Amino acid sequence: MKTPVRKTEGVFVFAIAAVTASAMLASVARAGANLDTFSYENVEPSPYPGIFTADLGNMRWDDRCVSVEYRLNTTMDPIGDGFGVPPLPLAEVAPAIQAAMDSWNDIPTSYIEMNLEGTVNNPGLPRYDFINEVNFNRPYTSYIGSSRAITLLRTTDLADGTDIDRDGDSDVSAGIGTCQDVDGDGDIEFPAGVYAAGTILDNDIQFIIVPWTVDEQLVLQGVWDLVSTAIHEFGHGHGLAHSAIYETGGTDGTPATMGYPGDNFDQLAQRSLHPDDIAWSSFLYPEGTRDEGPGALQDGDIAFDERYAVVSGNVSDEHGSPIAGALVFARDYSNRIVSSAVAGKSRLGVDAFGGYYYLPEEILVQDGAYELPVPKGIYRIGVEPNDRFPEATLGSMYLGRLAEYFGRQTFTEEYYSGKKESGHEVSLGTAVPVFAFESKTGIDLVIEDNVFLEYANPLDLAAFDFLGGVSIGPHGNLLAVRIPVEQVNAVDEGRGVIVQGALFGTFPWAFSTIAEYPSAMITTGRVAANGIVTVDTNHPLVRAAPFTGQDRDFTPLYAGGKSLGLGAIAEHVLPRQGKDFFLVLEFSPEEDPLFPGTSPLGILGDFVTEGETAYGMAYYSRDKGKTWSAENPLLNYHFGLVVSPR
Amino acid sequence: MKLWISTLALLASSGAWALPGSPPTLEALVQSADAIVFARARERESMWVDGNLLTRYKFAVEEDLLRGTLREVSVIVEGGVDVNRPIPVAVIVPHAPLFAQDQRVALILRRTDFPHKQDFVVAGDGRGAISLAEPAPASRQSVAPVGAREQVLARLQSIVNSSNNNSRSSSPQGPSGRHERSNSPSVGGAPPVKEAP
Repeated sequence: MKTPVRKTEGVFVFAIAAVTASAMLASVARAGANLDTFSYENVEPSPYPGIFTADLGNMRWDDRCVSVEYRLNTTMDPIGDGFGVPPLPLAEVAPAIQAAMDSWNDIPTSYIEMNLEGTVNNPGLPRYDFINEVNFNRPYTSYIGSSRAITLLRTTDLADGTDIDRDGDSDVSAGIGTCQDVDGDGDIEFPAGVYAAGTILDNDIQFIIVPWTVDEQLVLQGVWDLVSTAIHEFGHGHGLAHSAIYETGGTDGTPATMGYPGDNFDQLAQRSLHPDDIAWSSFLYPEGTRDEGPGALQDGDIAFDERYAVVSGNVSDEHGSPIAGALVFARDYSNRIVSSAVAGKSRLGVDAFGGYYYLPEEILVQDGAYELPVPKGIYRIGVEPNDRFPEATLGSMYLGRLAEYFGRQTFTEEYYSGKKESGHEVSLGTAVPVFAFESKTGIDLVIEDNVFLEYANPLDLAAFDFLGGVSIGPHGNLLAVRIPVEQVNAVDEGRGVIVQGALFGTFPWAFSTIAEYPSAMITTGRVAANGIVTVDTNHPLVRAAPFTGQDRDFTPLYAGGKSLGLGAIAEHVLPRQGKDFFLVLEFSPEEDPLFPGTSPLGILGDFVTEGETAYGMAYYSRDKGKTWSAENPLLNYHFGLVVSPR
Repeated sequence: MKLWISTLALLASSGAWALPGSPPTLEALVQSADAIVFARARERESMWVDGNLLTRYKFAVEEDLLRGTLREVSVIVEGGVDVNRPIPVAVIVPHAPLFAQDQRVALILRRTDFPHKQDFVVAGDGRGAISLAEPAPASRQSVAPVGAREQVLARLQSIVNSSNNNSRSSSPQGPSGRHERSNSPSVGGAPPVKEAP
């Protein structure tokens, strides 16, 4: 039963791949929210012996296999049992699964089609068997659902009669034009022909053995929702990666359905597809782009080009070096994020045996290009680091992991500012609107060459383990972090500084909760020799009220046109007055158990015992800023000032 | 059926928490770990087991934080790449950990009896694998006495925090590094992997 992969054979197969790849169809490289795959496409030698570089594949179903046929595993009926939750009979499971598929099927601009077409009696886990299985037999893991896909390693000509999975039965037929069970034995046969690297051959959706429900009231009580979980997994099932959108923005805390799964407070919201989910499913399977087959317009369809535009450009540093892996996003007039994408194309280091390598980015990175599908409209286009906050795409894409390895996802979130776009912008929050009523090219983003002067509570991550302690303290009070002015001026390299703004790490426990603070500000203050702290909250240098925090991420408070002035204050005024900058966040007077703290973001540092204040830089006020203490309120925080040389 | 049960046991043993589906905390992973090591990926072998592709990575242990005795660990991961079939395939499991050749990582591990008694799985799926900067700072090598889980947790938290920040912060004494671009994998807080074998 166990079949080790033999390395000697691998050399042979790999040699063929290297020769044939260049002659095959070039697959369209598309980053963004499309899952990428290991591939042997366009293999080239690298400077390192035995290591080559290859394109990443794009995971998707070939048009000939749309509609995708799934089968429901019937060996567990009812599913789930325990914790007092009524078991769910399969008679209720099947329509819930089909409803999840229909969420995607019903997108008028996407031609993806997935359907539950029968059952399978498999007492174990799903196999590589050309049966797309929906299975409830997976034991406990930290992920309640998963989507496993078997994909082609390289562009391949599948010949009639080929037994791809080596079960003794042909998986390819020259007599059919679409994927179907042509011989009636229960598995799917593919039409003979050429298929691109990354083509999905088999997809199995697995759910772990826990209590499941489709009842909204039980979902609200915290029981896992089969519908929203299935929608997410079938999103993976047709090639979508995790979305970076944890909240829509403005006053809308709705996460994308393809947002990283994290809690069960948002499940009902995730039953409805987010505009980002719809845009990417449509971009990968665009209606009206084929003359025949599923991509040709039929009743009820709307052509992708009729409803969508594609904004494109490059992300680079000030020297023009591409930043692969950066997250680009579009906000509409109401401040809602409607779409996001991962920028850049990178290759992967590979060997002949299926191993992969991270090589220097000069070898692997091809460009920093992005494509962002948006409903036709007017947008601000922004870029933020793909840095695990929010957790975003890093874990589900090779490109994300490579971006982490390259180590350049440390820049400041900002907006496209047209001709003023540079590595030393005075005002990061200024955005030039992009009129995307047709596809728009050349929207190039240049990341900043700046410094983040930051402090955080080292209890940060530990505090995650006792949320009750965190949620009790801060309501209605102020937290201030001091940024010594000499550290600000040390950035200037003799040229003076621009204080571009501040970043506040913000974190509501539930995805759909808006982290709204009464105010945030950059102001000045002093720590006297006797230890008495004064913070000028009446005359802030920059203030936002209210201040809407981002979900599990840094939230910028841009200094805007005051940036140069703040630099002058740092250079000439504060040293004379013996003052420093203070970053102040005001907490809501209302206790909200879903909004316990400010930051999931830790810092580099050693473990400190409970009760210590981090490096003496944080201060706390319970009387609206009249008096301040250096006590540690057991509150997560991670604040910093963003400073650029002039 | 036996293999199926064994495979279930393998997958089940990666869990480390009480509530269904709750993301495990780092502390929960550490408290339930059978082994915690700093190690480097050395070998990789993929195998089909009852229609499922599994990959066994062998790691050379640089430091065994709990017992101080492990020199090598083998870790089983779902998915992988099979180049030996007539039609070579990749098996993609979005949540499963992936390790590049020579990658240096901290691993929080649980024992599994399958395929071999000597094998481990990464606790909490990918959450128990943490990329390490390279080379290891000498000062961090001797911080925690072997076996003290609280101090192991503190070390891992420090690593998680620093990898979260990349070059954002340079020192616990104060801020902070310029957001400079890294020209090589060893600059700018770039995580884990050696340039070439």
